[in-house]
Amino acid sequence: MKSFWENYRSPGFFDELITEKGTARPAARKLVNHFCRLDPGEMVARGNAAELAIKEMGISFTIYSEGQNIDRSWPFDIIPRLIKASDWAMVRQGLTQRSRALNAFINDVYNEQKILADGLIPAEVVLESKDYKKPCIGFRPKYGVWAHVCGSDLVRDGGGTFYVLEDNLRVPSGVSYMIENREVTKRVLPDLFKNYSVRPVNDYPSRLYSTLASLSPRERKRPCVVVLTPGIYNSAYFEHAFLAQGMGAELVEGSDLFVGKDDCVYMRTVDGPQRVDVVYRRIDDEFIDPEVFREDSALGVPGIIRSWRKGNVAIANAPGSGVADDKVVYAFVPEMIRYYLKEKPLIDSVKTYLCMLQEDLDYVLENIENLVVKPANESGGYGMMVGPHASKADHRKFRDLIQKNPRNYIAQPTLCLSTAPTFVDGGIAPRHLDLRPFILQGKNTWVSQGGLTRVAMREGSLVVNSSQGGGSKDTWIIEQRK
Amino acid sequence: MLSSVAERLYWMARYLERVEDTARLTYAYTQFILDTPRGSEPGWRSLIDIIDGHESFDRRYKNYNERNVCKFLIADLDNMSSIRHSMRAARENVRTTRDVLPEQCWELVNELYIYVNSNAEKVKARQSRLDFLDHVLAMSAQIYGVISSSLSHDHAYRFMRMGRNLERADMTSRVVDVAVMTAMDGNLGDEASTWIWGHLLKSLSAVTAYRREVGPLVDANDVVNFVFGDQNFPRSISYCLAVFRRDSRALRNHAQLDKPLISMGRKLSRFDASKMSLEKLHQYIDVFQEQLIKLNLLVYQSWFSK
Repeated sequence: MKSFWENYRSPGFFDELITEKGTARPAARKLVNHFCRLDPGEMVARGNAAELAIKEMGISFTIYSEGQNIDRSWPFDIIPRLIKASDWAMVRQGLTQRSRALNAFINDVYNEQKILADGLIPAEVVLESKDYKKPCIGFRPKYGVWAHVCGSDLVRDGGGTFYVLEDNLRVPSGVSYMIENREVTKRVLPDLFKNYSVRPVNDYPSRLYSTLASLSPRERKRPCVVVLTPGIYNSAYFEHAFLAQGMGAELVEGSDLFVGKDDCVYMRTVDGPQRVDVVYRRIDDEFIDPEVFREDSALGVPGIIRSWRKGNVAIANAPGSGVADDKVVYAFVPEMIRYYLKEKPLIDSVKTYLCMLQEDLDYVLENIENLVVKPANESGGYGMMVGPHASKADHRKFRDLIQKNPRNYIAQPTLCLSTAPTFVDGGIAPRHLDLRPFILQGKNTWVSQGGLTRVAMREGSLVVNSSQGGGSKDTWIIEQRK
Repeated sequence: MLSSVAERLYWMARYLERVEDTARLTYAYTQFILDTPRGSEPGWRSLIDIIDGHESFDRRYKNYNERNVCKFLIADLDNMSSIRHSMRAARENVRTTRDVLPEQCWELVNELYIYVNSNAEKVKARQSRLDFLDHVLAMSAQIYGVISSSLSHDHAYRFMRMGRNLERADMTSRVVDVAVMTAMDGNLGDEASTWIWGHLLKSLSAVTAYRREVGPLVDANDVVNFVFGDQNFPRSISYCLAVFRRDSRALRNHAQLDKPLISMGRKLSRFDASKMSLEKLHQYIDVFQEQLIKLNLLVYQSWFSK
């Protein structure tokens, strides 16, 4: 059914597969041809097959609705998104650089605070942030690395240039879906791979294990790594189990661990206590140790911060890493790269207005209907406002919110997010998307091949979060013919 | 191996075994009814006896008819032994132990769960019920196949096998008990009471094994002795306990279980149905089930407590 694709246009946006004239981009030509040969019935059949595979593989995420936990199947679009390996090489370098600078920054603000003394970043932005954790001051983790796993959200503008939209340094999730999306495509569209050399993505768990093992305080051939989950009701539980399995590590909850008299961390096993070297924690700082942070936390391990500070256990990401996750701090990342690495940033950040600065505040209040306003430290797309899509009442509400607490808000221009052909309502239509690659840093730094592409399934929408109805696509980094 | 994971694996295996046993029992009973001449059917009540389900059954139904009993055994979520409830519990335990199990195991368990959940309510007619149970039995076999051929036979495997064998010994003894009680009832003619013992073998998939080991004649005492004491049949109580004991001894901290297991084994080796009245046999089974409950408790104390 050719007409699906013949009439496809995405005016005003950079489309990942189709040019403005409606022809396939050179790298996507074979893929588009393949889909052109599928009639609507077959497209629906493949879509259903993907849905069934997802259900049977149990790829799910949990959402909270009306006080209930609902396990939802992972939303997936069968048309992959393509990125040329040569384009990706640039992005990888940029992300590596960014991750090194961010870690240098975190290590600095918990120790010498040089960047604050030199006045590059206003000290109060960092020191008064709720994510600046006092119990972490003066600690130096191995290799000076705090954020071992980083998920940065990338977008492409109208010209196709990649920008970093935000860095997730606390407990970024989504990597298991990146891997499972590929598995689903392999199951339902195996022929699509015939004409392409696609870089595999399933080595992530072993890369993660190497990174975590490099943090072990004890020199051992196979350090004891555990994945600490808040439990089955967490929205990312599927991923916690997936990664534990992929690493051959134990998946533990707080109650499975305890800190012994020797200030080492142990897990309760059928053979008695066993010492743990590295905790890959997927619970937030606030809940990790009731002795230090929230006393009412039943998810954490009492005393684990003491053990960590004594160097008896490694925690990834290190507590306190979230200080660099703040959207105000984000605005300063290019400065950090120049300051710590003496390099020019290889990948841009999106222009960010800091409401804490009078000049920026005036601009934001004046132009709120054209801007995206975000709270400085929320994730999951909660509490944000997309100016052009919001009502007058919302504009008023956000003007008030910002004026009450300017430090807590930033604003960015509404980006012309790139689009890709997506199978919706029995046809092909452009939908906006972003990309979350994953960066690992321990002894070495490594960036995933591609990442998780998230798609806003509603027409014109820019909100890609799965908790808010977003979908996803398999992401192909393709090798060019020599 | 984490204590909490060991506990979930143990229960996952118990629930999966319960699914399989209940399916086999319902399947065999439906066929048994087909074999019995009209008018002398023993009724469906005894299936509820087996699982000790009268309390929750009476809360929902008045009549112990085929439709109600089968619905209760297959689809009712408030019956803790129903196929649907057990499957849901098994899946929940696999969902929280996916990291130790072969990937295919989760997919199969999930698939069976989806199948049971969407078909359990529909199986009113005998034909669709038998098809349903057939499928459940086939899938259960497949799940065990994957577990025994792709999971290392390490602690994880041992805890699963311990759960499975305990559940199985329990179910086998219940099936015998119901046969004993049906026979004691005396309302059935002589001919029907010999069917009881043949049917008992069928409910345990033991017909071929019995024929090869004992012979083609179905005799009450021989059947009970076989089901209790055979050393090689994987559903006999002696076999289940012997494997259970071997698994427990491969783990640390097994000391508490040694004594009761040795004494149970000794008692079983002296077991002879021909020297007992049906009444005595019924009492014997009662005591045996209490011992199984105690074993379960010791498993908790030795390995799962925090």
